[in-house]
Amino acid sequence: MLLDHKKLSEKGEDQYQRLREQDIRRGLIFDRQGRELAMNLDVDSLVCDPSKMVKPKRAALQISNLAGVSYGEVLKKISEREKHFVWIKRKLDGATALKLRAWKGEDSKAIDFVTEAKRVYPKGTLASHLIGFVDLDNAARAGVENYYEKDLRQKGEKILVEKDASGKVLSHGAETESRGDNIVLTIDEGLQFIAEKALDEGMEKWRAEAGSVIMMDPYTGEILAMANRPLFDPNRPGAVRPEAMRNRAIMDLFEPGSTFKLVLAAATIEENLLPPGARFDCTSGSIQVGGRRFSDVHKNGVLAFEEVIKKSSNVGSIQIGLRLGYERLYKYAKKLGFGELTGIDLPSEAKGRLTRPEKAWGTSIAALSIGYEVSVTPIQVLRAYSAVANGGVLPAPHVVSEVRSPEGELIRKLEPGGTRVLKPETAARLKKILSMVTEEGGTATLATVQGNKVSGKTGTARLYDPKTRRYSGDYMSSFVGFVPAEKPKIAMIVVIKGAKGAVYGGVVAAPVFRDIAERAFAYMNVPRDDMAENNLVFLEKGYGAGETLRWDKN
Amino acid sequence: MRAGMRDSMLSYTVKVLACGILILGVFGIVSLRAEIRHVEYELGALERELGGVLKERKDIMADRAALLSIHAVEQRAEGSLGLGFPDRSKVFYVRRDVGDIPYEASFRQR
Repeated sequence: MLLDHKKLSEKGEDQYQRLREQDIRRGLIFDRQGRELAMNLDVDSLVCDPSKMVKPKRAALQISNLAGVSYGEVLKKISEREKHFVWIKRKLDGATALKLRAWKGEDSKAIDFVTEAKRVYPKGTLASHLIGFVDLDNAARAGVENYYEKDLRQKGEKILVEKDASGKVLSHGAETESRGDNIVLTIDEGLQFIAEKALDEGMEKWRAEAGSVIMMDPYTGEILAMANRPLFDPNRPGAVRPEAMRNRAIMDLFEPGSTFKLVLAAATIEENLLPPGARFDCTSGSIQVGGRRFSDVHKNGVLAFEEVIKKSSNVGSIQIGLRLGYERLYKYAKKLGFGELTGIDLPSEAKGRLTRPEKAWGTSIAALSIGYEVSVTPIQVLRAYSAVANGGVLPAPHVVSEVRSPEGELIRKLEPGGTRVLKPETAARLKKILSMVTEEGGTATLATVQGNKVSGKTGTARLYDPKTRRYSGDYMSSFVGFVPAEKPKIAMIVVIKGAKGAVYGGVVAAPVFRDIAERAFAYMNVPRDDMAENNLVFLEKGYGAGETLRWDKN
Repeated sequence: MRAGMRDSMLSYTVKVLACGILILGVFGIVSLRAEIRHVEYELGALERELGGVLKERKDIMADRAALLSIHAVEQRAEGSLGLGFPDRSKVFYVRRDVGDIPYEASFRQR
């Protein structure tokens, strides 16, 4: 016997010790001001040892009533006599768990509770497309949760725990949890809320099908808000169709229409294409290129280059495009990031489509000049406009600013990046042209923000139906711009799909832009443009949250 | 004869003592083991209590985060307090009276 000491002591240890996996807790997600957007709760899951069941049918009936699971399902699970462990219902809500714990039936000893981590999103639907969600096993399925899975979910280790004769664990020890790193987003809950509210109002007014808003710091590429509709609640992702979970701001491709005229204008200025005082005859209201007729919404007269953009004349733009040529226009579209991924730190970003010059055909130059025969995402359009806003640098959009340890130590800081794509003089001239769009006679007077000049461009494009391979009757209405025009605090795009009653970007999307910008500026304490020259001051400090933001660097 | 009896007595006493020590030792070990087990049960119970408190803390933090959400705050502010979200058109500005600026002179080259 004594010679078997090793074997016997191992057997003894096996009887009172057990190796157990650490519980894995995902890291938390915060907004830029440290407000929790994703957390973990400890909840009970109902388990059962079917081998201990005495009267399964009666137990199944009682459990199904208490746990809210169908009788058949429970009976099937607890009738598997050869098993010692089956899940009955995972991640119970508090009230159900209490009821089940209080249950004293003949077979109540055969059921038990296992504590599991449940991911919760305390702000509900807010920024749900950006944050993403997890499945029942806490594995990421979308958004930041998915992109930063390696940081948020650390691999757990095995720990030794003591158990008694009945197998009940006595002591867990200290390190029972493996906690992932925390993520700090660039978005601000307040700005996100403002964007979502205004988008909802706009969508309701125009009975629209879908919509997106992205707000970005044009200098750093930090995404301040990203809203999409239709929405879903990440706490109950199974309750909606997968379609509602699409982050349209980075995944939905559309023909941009007139917002793409920025590329045309940038190329024209950079290439010094036009002699001073060049004018374009748009009196006919239409132009024929490659056997297809392109028209303006209203007939315009003879327009200068700036007026072509201000009035968003298709005829004038096509005339400029014809002088420029497809290759040069393509080159600047590429330079401004179209047909390429922006590299935003979110999964499933769409690249878009830009026809190569060798594959261009008769109408391509005319179509591309006015934003057709090209498919883009809202984030691509916003990035291009941000390059104009910041003086010519194409920023790298991102939604995460820091990765921190569970104890709060900084692990990684994501620095802003960017590539110069336009000369500062070009960007300055474009800013002025885009400011004219929101002035009297422009297409986006409804985007005007009280006290601050807005630079931007409207877009209205028919939606292409891939099923019928034709343009449908629906439109994509958009407005993209930045404000204050001189030293922008925010760049923003509003895209609304399938509006009813009106379709123009200047009517449907521009007011949403204005509403968001005005509320955001009140929230951020952004002063009026004329404050310095008129020697004005705030009578009282407004909403204080903006003070802690990093707005004063420009 | 007497020496033999004494040896026998001594041997008997030693045996009794040895048995006693052995029995006491076994009881001691068993009782120590039982005590350790008891402490482990207590520790387990305390850990469960700690787990319960931590769970409650997490629940409270999640409730706090939900209550502090701007959406919830706005609903309460608009619903029961009659407050509104900051409206830029209602921000007041006043002209700053800078007064007389003292004349500054310097020999430093500009």
